[in-house]
Amino acid sequence: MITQQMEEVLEAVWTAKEQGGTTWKQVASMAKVSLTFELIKSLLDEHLIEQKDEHLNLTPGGNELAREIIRRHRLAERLVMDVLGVDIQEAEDNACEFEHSLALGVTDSICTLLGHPTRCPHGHDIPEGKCCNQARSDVKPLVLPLTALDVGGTGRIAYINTRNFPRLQKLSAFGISPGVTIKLFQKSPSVVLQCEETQVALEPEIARDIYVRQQE
Amino acid sequence: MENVSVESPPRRRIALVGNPNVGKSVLFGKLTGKYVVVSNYPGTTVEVSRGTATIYRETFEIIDTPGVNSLVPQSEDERVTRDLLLAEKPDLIIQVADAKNLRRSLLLTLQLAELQCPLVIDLNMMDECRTRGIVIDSKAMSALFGVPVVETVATTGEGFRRLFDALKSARMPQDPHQGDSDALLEQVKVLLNHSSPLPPRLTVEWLASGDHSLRHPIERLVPPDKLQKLEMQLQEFRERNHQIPAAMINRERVAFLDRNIESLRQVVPFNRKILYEKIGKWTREPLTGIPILFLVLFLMYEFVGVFGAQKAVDFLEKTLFGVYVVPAARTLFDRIMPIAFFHDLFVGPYGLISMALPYAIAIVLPIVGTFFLAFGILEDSGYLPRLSILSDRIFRAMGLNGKAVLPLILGLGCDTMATVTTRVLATKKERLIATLLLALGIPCSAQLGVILGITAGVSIVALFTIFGSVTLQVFLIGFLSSKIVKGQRSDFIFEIPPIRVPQLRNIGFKTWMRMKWYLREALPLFMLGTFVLFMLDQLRVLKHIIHAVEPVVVHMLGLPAETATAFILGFLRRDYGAAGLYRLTEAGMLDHIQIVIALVTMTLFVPCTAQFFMMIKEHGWKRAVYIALVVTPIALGTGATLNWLLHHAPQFSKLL
Repeated sequence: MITQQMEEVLEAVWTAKEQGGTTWKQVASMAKVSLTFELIKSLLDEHLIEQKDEHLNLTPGGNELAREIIRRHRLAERLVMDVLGVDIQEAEDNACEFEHSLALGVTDSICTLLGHPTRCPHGHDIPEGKCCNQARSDVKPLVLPLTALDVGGTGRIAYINTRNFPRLQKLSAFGISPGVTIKLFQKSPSVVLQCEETQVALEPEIARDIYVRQQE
Repeated sequence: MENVSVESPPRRRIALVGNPNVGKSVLFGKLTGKYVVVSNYPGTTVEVSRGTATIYRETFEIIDTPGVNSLVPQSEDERVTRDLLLAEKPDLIIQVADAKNLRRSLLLTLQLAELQCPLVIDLNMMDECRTRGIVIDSKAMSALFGVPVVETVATTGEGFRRLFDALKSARMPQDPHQGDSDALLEQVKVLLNHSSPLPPRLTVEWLASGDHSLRHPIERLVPPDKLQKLEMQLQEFRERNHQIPAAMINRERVAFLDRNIESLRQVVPFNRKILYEKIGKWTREPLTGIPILFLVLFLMYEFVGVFGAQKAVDFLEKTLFGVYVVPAARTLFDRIMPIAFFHDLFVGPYGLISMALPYAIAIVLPIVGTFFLAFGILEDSGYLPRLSILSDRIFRAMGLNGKAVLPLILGLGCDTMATVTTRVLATKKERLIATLLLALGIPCSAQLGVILGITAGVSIVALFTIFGSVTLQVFLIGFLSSKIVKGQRSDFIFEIPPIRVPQLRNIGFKTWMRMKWYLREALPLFMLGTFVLFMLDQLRVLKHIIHAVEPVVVHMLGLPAETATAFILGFLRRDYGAAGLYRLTEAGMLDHIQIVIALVTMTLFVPCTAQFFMMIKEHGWKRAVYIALVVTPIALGTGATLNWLLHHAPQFSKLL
């Protein structure tokens, strides 16, 4: 039986590794629960993690599970923030609460609904799910990359998926920032959109990172 | 006479600041009576212009600045404006704002508000706002920022009186937005010592912007230990809050606009000018855009290549100069000037009246005149920036992006001016590659006209062979230099202006100013070049020079030795060299293959002196010399290769 607390630890090991550390101390600083001896022992017993000297590592089984938890958590953050419009700190708290209660199938639906985002609001990678590789989709996405919008369509920018700060600054100087309504004019050879009364041409690689909520 | 006091206070300076393509230069022209080039694309103005205007008996100094989307500069032209505002501290800023793009304009207003300088907001282009059914509550806006807001149409002068009245009530803007970054900003203010002219928010953003060259005004104004402390504090903030402070500040500005913009603006559904939007659509989509491009090129060819370079040149050169001016001058000098030296100086084979004048006025002037006229129409219609959409991919292969289409096309007008315009490109790498390509393969209007004029008498195959070879070289060198030149290309994010009906007045005026500028620039150099050639000939040096370059000209390129003079002239001015070739072909000294080789080599050949000096000014000695050193062997190599190819492909050469 995997408890919520155990999930938290797995998540902490994953996050610590993502940031380049695997020591006990680094994992402890990431974890939202205190790393008790019993907790670690139960994870070791389930063969989810292994310990070598100072270091904690995920076993293949543990890795699989942690990946799923991380995916759920970060998708939940995106959902709370982009769809419900809650700010980043609150999003994290809420996401924490319902990441544990999301079932597997629901995760993929949310992923599809959000247009298969690749990064969470903090800019960390969201592990890919099966749904991301499949072309089919049963759920019509609510948020989708600008390049997936139909030509002539209108959308409200949900988020811009980039850690490239100068790019964000430049886009925002043209009026392209979350919350703004844009109209897509053309996708090839360059993307052309209208934002207020400004027409802006973009290379498709940049447009792909702009996620919009489709409007009628 | 009025008594002018020696102690009169210095003139107050008004800076016109605003987003690109909102009419700053139009307003500047109307206020000062000085003409600066006005076009319909962002980035027409890349340098600061100054003039004076007398408003209600007070004389102001008016400063026109390159357009900025943000005071956090993304390119050289934006940096010029930012540095001017910081270094000069104008007494008053008029923000010229595009009324129909209120959000973007206000984003800049919020940044300007931080400069602590009296501000007037001029909502310009109200006519375009009205045709789109947009109504702006300027009273509410005025209350929000605490500064006068006036509505104008700069092209017609509408609302100028209101603008002048507003100058009297210009005030320091309020800093209306607050947010989570306030605490941090307090710390920054303390560190900057309150008295510093640096605005805290913008300082944080400048420090965060990647390009190091964009930081230096801060480094000048803040001692290094304080700067280090400031950066440490920002880093600390970032780690503690998991947020980039600069990003946070930007977000707060956007959030402020989100809260307020709807109360400032109303959009009434309205009959829009559908036709212009249709034209805009056709010109930017490949399926219709490419045929339209060919149509535009064809019309340009008819106007510049056929009408300008053939009909007009023919008349001016053969009739005006050939029948009247030169023979008359010759008769006159025959009669009054017995000394052969002075006689030949004016009307000899390298004479100022028999050579320099017809070259400048009969061959080159009609070509650049027709070109500038046609080009002005294209500039003002808003067509040119649309080409960036079609060409972005091609430019990306050359380490540039679609934005580079503007400086390169402007190069067809004058490569020297275009070299300055490379400032609109964001990175050093892009500017360097664009400058290289301008020096290498972009023929200026006079060269282009001469090519069209000469090939008209040859064949269409020759024309395509010439343009094909040059274009191929430009792509090849662009591609190679994108691999060799260090640095990055920037994101392609580019504003496309609306399609507008060109105003005849502006086009006429612009063409006139450019022709005047051409005569002022070119005529003295043509005279000087002819004089140098004349002296070389008199001193019997010319023969030796021609003899010395014979191996290259005759053996490598397969051209007659006399073409060397044209190439020597080409050093001085590209168009001068081209005009020289024009004369040689008229005299029947070149066969078709030789014409193709000569024109290709001349087009790729070294930049003219003016362009070379501009390259030094923009990139420094070393780079300018490198470029010249790279360009020369490429030009000669291409010429030699063509010479070999055309003589080994008789089937093809027959078509020329």
